[in-house]
Amino acid sequence: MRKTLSILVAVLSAAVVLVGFFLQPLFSPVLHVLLRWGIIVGSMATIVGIINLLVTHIKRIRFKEGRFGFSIVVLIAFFASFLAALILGVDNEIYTQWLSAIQVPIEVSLLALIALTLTYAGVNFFRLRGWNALSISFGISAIVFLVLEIGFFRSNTNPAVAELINFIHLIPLSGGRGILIGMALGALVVGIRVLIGVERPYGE
Amino acid sequence: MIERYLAAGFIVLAAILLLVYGILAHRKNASPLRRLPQLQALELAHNLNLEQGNKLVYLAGGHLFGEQVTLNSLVSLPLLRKLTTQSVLSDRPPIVLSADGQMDILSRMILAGVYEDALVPNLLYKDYSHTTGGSRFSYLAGCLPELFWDHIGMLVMAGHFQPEMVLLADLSARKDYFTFAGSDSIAAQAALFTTTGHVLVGEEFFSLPLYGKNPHKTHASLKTQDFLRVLIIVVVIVASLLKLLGVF
Repeated sequence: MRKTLSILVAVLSAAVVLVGFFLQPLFSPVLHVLLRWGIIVGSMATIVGIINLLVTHIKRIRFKEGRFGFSIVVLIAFFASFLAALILGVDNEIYTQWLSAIQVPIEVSLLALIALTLTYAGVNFFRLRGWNALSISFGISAIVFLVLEIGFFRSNTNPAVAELINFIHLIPLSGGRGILIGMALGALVVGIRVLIGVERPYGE
Repeated sequence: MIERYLAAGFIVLAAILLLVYGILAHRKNASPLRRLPQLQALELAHNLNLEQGNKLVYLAGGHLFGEQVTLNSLVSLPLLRKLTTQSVLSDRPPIVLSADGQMDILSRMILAGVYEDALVPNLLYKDYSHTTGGSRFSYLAGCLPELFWDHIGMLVMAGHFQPEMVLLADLSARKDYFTFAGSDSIAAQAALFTTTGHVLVGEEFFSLPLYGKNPHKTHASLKTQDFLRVLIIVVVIVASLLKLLGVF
């Protein structure tokens, strides 16, 4: 009974949203109401997610599981920023500066690590995938775009070279569009399967 | 306005095709059209992981702060159900890490359902599934320490996340864990392609709900996608020719 009800609610909501989207002036009030409900449910889910996170880390500290030192750092950082936001307000200049002073350097250093990892992965790619048409074309295109993006050819005033560079830049765009079309079709078919109740990713 | 009607017509056509191919596949007792080697490798690795008594770390992704709302992570939940059903009685149960509250709740629901179906709801603990962070980097930072637990055998990343997860894939590869990745983000797919041997590319990600399902459903879905793909190719070619001829 519970499962049937959840399927019914999901299918009906999806159908109303879809029909409402296509008949928008007529169904706009219904869509707005559903959107507001979605925002409320999403916000509540976020609170549940935060509580779960805290409970998990408190349990790890309590039972000294694994590397529980990380959990202590998580809890201290969470409560410090939460209390500061409550006292000062989320728009307070000192608060946002304080948050940015911690967050931005960490994110930048992670980005630097990602750049290094990707460079290493690019070299290691041939060992992982072997020497085949795919890996060779991947290597060639990586080198070509690396050279192009350095900007060396941008100073070149020859219109034929500029035209060639523009053409080369179009190749990944068209390839990307091809992949996007495939993904959109995949998403569409999954969506329809959910809509007609064949697929129930939300169910138990 | 005309675009909206065209889109509606396209959706109706896809629904009709899905229905027709579904009926035909059922009548002809059709088998799945193609099997993805990545999913076959995942199945083998998961069985081996269970035999060795190792833990699976499952990254379900989710909607990340500062990005457009996406529900594409839902696509990975049937895979989660399948993998957890197989490992419900294993020595070390899987751990699920989500990027938002909705995915966390849904993952918990699935785990609860799996443990109830196996008649062992008492074996399910709350910390088997939790949120690690809501933004791109906090999710990554929250997931990284989870790979340092003992007796981990494999990492499955299936959901919405961005290229920075390549750090996690790299760590997993260094620790010699089996790594499987599927994302709806093209940038993430490209980054993970360089580090991970088993990556879903393009629309392959959306075939995850069909993993281990009735072959008729798989057949119908793939046939529908193929038909629509050919239709789009024809439309693009005809439109290009018409533009070349100066019709519009």
